[in-house]
Amino acid sequence: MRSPIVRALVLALLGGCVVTRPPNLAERPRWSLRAPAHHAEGCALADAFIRKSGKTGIGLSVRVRSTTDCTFTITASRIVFGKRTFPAGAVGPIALPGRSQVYAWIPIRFDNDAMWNDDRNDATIELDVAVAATPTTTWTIPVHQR
Amino acid sequence: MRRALILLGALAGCTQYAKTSWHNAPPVTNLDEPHPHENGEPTAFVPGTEPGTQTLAVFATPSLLFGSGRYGDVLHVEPGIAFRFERNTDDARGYLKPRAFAITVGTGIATAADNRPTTPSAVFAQLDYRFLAVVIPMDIGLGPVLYPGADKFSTDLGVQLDFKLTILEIRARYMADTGFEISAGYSIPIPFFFQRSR
Repeated sequence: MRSPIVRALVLALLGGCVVTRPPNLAERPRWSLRAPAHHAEGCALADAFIRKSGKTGIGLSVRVRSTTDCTFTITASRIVFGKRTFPAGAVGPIALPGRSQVYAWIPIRFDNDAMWNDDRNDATIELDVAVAATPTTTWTIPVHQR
Repeated sequence: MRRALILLGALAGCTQYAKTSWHNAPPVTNLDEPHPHENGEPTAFVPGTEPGTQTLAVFATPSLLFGSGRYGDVLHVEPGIAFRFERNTDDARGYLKPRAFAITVGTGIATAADNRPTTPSAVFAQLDYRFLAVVIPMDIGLGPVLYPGADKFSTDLGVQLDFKLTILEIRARYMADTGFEISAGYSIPIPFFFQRSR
C-alpha cells in the first residue's frame, strides 16, 4: 500500500496544469494566395506560387513561360500591409529563347512574427514586371495568412 | 533526467485542456533556398520547422514545517504557501531544465506552538537554484524574511536559507531580534506551465 505522502504527491501533481501551449507544426499559420496568381503580358506567361512561409517572411516562386524569344524582368518587388511596405528583390533580366520555361525565386523578407501578433494577415505582393521592351507593369498578388 | 522533468510536466495533467498560445506562431523557414524540387505544382509547399518554446513555470507549493528557535526550544509548526517562478527557453518543447534559477515568494500562514498564541508567520522572497544530485533534483534558496509585527518594534527582519529535496524541505532563518530558527517538513510543488512559441 502506498504511503499517504506518495498519494498526496500524486494527487497534487495531477492538480497541476499546462495552462498554455504553442501550436503544433501543422497548426502554425502560413501565407497563401487569395487566388491563383497568373500574369500574361506580351511574349511571357507567368504564375506565382508561395513555397515557404515563416517568421522571416515568404518564399515566392515565379514560373515564366515564353511563347517566342523573350526577356522577363522583375525590376522590383515588395509586400504591402496597408501603409507599410517591405521591399524585396529584383530578378533578371531572364532570357527565354523560343518556347521555354524558367523558375525565379523571390524571398520576401519581413518580421512576420510582428505582423501575425498584430493580426495583420492580409497583404499584397507587388511585382514590377518588364517583358521584352514593353513598359513596366505592376503585378499585384493578394495573399492571406491563417 | 531531462526526460523525467519533461514527463513531470506531462504528468502535471490536463495538457489536453491547455489553451493554445498563438503568440509568435509562424514557424521557422529558410528563405535563402528555393523549393528543392520545383515543378510548378500549385499546392507544393516546404513546411517550416518548430521555433522552440519559452516557458514560465509557476509552482504553487503548500508546505508544513516543524521547527525550533522561534520560541526558544519550544517546537512550533508553520503551514505555508510559496510560489516559485521559473523561466525556460527550449529548442523543442521542454518545460524545465535540470539546472535553473528561479524566484520564490511565499508566506507562512501562521506560527503555532504549545502554550503560545498563534501568530502571523513570516513572508519571504528567495533566489533559488535547482540542480541534480546524481538524478535527484535539489533546490537551494536564499533571501530575506520578515515577521510582520503589530508595530515597528515587534517586526523582525532576517535572512532565510532553504533546501529542498523532492518533497522534503529544510529551512534555516536568522532573525535580527530572535536569532536562529530551523525547521523541516514537507512541501509539495504543484506546477502550472505557461508555454508559447519563441
